[in-house]
Amino acid sequence: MLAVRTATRPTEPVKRLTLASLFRHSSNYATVMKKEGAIHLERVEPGSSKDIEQPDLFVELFRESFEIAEDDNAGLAIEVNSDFLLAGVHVVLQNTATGTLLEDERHEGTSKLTVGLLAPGHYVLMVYTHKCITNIDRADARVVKAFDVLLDMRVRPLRKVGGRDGELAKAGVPVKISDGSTSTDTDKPDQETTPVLVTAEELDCRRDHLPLPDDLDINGVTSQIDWSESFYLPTYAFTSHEMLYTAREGQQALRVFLAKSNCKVSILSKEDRKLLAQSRPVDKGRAQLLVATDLVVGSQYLVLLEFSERAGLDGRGGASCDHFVMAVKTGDAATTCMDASSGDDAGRGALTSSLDGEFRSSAIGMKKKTEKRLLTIQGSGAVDLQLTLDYSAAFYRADLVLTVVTPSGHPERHRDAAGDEAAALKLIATETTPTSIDFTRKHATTYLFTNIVAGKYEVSVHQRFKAKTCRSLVTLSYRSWEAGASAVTLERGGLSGLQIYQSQSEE
Amino acid sequence: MGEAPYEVSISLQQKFHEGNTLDLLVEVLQQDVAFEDIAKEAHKPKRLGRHTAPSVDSETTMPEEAEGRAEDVKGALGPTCAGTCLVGGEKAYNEMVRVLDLEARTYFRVWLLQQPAKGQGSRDAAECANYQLFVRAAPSTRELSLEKKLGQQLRCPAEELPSTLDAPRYLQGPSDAQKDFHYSQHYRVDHLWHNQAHKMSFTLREATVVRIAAPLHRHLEFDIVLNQDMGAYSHQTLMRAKKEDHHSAIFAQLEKGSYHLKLEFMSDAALLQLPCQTVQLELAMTTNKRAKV
Repeated sequence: MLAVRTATRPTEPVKRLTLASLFRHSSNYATVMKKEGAIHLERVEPGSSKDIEQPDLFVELFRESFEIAEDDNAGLAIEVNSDFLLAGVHVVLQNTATGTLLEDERHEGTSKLTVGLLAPGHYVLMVYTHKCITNIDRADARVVKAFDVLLDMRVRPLRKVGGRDGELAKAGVPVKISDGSTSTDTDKPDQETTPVLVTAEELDCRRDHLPLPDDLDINGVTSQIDWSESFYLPTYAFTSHEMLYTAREGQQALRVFLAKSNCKVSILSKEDRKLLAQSRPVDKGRAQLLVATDLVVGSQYLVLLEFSERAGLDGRGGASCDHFVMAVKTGDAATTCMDASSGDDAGRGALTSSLDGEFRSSAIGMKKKTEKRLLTIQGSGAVDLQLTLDYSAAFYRADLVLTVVTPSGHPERHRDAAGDEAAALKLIATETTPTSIDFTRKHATTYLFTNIVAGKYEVSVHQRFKAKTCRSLVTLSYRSWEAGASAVTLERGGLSGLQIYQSQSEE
Repeated sequence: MGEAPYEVSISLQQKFHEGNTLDLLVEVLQQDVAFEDIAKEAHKPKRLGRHTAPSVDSETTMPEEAEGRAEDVKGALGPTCAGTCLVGGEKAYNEMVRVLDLEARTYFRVWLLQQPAKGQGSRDAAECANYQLFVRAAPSTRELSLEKKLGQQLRCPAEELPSTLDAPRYLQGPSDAQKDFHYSQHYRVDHLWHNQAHKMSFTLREATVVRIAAPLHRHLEFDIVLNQDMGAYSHQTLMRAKKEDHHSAIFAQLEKGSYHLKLEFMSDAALLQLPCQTVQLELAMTTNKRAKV
């Protein structure tokens, strides 16, 4: 099978967006716009905030109108990507007849607005941001005089499929641009626009999760890539997805974390599709981690995600609206490490957790790939323990293992140094399995252990792929409380025959 | 079992139209006894009608036990109820539930009592009852106050608003250098009811670009205030971001110094205190040098 992509993303951004152009090209690629010096500075004196009203800071980047006809039976899918910090754009859609405003759902660097069905009538689509206030006195001391806006945008009609009018849904949508005629742009809306087709389930899914991007640099090309988002898979079958990455100066190292068990992440050279690195399972196989260093500046790479429909350890494989967290970070692995000789050995002492539910934190300097801390949970009986491992200051992602310490004061593994199968099995037996692992927090993982016995544990923090010379800092936060497992629970056991006796229709 | 009291939950599940309905009974046989000290022989099931204290001398081997079916007690055997007996439970859909608190080191037996329907055709049909039985024991929390119990059940997973951004997760980088950050997440505010506001201080070691955005909240109305600290006890406001259509936003280029962000809530405290109430904030900072591309 040989196919060539007919449409490729233009290499040069446009200076002005038009709705006609957006409707025409959005099914193939996002249109990139760069507006130089679009965001000006507004000097403020401390204490004079009453003089500054937010409407005064409003900066309009795009505004055009369009009309939805009686028989269009269509909605709209809009996606705008920009660097949140430097551009921070918002999208708003207004029904001019009713005045109803629909504002975007914000994700990290992404503004997304999905409307299942638009009532016939005129609409205004607007993209805007705000001016930057500054308290820096001298103009020459302001390193940034004005901010450029770099964004990419897609606007596509949307139709729901799956109903009785399945074939009709695929028909093109003729969109009339209300004020496009004043433009000198040669793009005229003289052809039908292909709608994006979504099922009702996918429409729900799009509200909270993003479709997988084609390009890792979804926030524009102004700064380091560092995002963590929830994405969804609109399929029940085996599937794969490719994302383009172009290595730039200072971003020769790439970390891709996928919080999903039935998948694999690989990185290939785009030129010859040669496999360069593959992911490894982390957190007991509940997630995959890929780290690639020494990428060549200017070279293009493909990050390949391969999903299986088989249920993974999380039991979610093949479910509808199968969503998961994916986090991508770039950097220079060498510069993200502290000098091995620098700093002190932060927090080498043992940790103690009271059953008061209050968080306590300890910084852990990672000299080796694995660092261990003794954790004592005070009290007696069953307790719940929450551990949060924050690796925001490190390039290499960290994870942890909690092990029971024997009454003699040593972790089980130390007694079975032979490394044979029995010792391995014993080690597994003493490892405490978390009830849940939360990957949704950026740069951090939260482990919840329920109904464990108060006492002594060993927390082993690992940083996979880390070079021996690299020293980094992670923060472990911990809190515990008396076990709440005997509180009200809706869990009714897992026997398959349960429903035989639970049929309310027989009542 | 350990020393803490246990909550034992027994669920007997049968179809409502089941001809042979069962009843359950919990018999407490021995208390404050170690597992290895349980007098199992003394507590073997007895013939019904002999409601006397157990006696080793009076024990006789029942035909079922002789056949190796001692656990499958039928016919004329039943509880002696020499100690505590609890009969039946709460009726639910196709289910009878009994929840009881037992001290640790308690030896007890769960009985299922069958009352065959009269007038059944064959003997087999009359004796056969379909059912499911679930018995679970877990450390009891019944002695805890309601407030504490609720606190355990409703332990909020959302991150708490930091009191300072001068922390490794935010501005504090390796070797004490200022770090960039960008987070978009839900922060917990239900514990802020004392003063209806929350302050987050931060220190900039060099000129920095700051952006904050807060999408519209369904119930809560709040402003984001950016203040510059002018000394130990005074500050001046640089900007107050009020709700503009669907969000509040601050975009600023700040000189080095001490600042604090304040979330000021205008909504009723009752809304703020809803369990695990959160607000979504997108916060990002980078030094001016790194912002210049």
